[in-house]
Amino acid sequence: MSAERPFTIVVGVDGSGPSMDAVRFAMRIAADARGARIHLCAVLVAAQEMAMHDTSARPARVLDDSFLERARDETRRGGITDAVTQVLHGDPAEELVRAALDLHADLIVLGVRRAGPLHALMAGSLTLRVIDRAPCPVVLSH
Amino acid sequence: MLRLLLATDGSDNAMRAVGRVRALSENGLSVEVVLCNVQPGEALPASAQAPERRQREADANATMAPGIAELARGGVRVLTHHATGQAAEEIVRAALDWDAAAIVIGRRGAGTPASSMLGSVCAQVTREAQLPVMVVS
Repeated sequence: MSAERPFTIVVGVDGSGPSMDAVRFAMRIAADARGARIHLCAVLVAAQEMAMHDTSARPARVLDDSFLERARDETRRGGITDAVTQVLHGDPAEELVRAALDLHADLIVLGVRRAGPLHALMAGSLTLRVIDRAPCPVVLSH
Repeated sequence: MLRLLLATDGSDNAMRAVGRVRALSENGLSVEVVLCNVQPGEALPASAQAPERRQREADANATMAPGIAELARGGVRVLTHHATGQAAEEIVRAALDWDAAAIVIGRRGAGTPASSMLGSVCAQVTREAQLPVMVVS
C-alpha cells in the first residue's frame, strides 16, 4: 500500500435524507484522515436517462442532479473545498463498486433507510449488492 | 481521532475486520478501537463470586488477544470491552456507552453461498444501531 495514495471515501448520493447523512459521516471521517478525498457519486439509472431525453417530460423531470450540488455544498460548509462529484450511468451497485475500485477507495459510505424489519438489507438490495462486491469496507449510515 | 467499536468473536470474519481497520489507520485515518467481545449466556447475578467474574474476563481477553495484537502491531490504540448476553444488543449498547463514531462488524459468510445474507448479528446491529455500521466482507 502506497503512502502516497490519499485516503479516499466514495459516497453514494441520491438526494435522500439518509444519503445526506452519509455525506456528513464521510466528512467526519475525512476530518480524521490526512489529505482525505471525498467522491460524491450519483448513479443515473436507465429510467432517469430516458426521462432526460424525453422532451415531453416537464422541465422539472428533466434529470435533476442538483442533489449532487447540494451534497457538495454540504461538504463546503464543513470546510472541505475539494470534494469531487461524479455522475455514473448504469446499475447503481455495479457502478459504485467500479468507482471504488477505480479510485482505490478506502471506504464506501451509503445511506440506508430505516424502514420495516427487513429494511435495506434484503438479499438483492442495492446495499447488500454493494457490500457483496465492494473492494473495501462499506459504512451504512442512517 | 475516530473511535470505532469493533465487535469480535475471534473468528476469521472478525479478524478480517481488524485487518481492514489497521489498513485504514496505515493509510492515514486517525483511529482508536474499542474491541468488544460478547460471551453468550446470562449476565452474572450481582451475587456472583469473583472467580466467576475473573473467568468471564479471562475468556473474553483470550478471544480478543489476536485482535489486540494485530492492532497494536499497526500502532492503533486499543481499548477493550466485554459483556455477556445477546450479541447485537450488547454491541449496540457498548457503542453508545463508549461514544463510538461507528460500529465495525466482520461479515459472516463472506465468499460463501450464504453470502447473499448479511449475517444475523450484522443485520441486527445495523437495524438497531443509531450510529453508522462499517461492514467488512
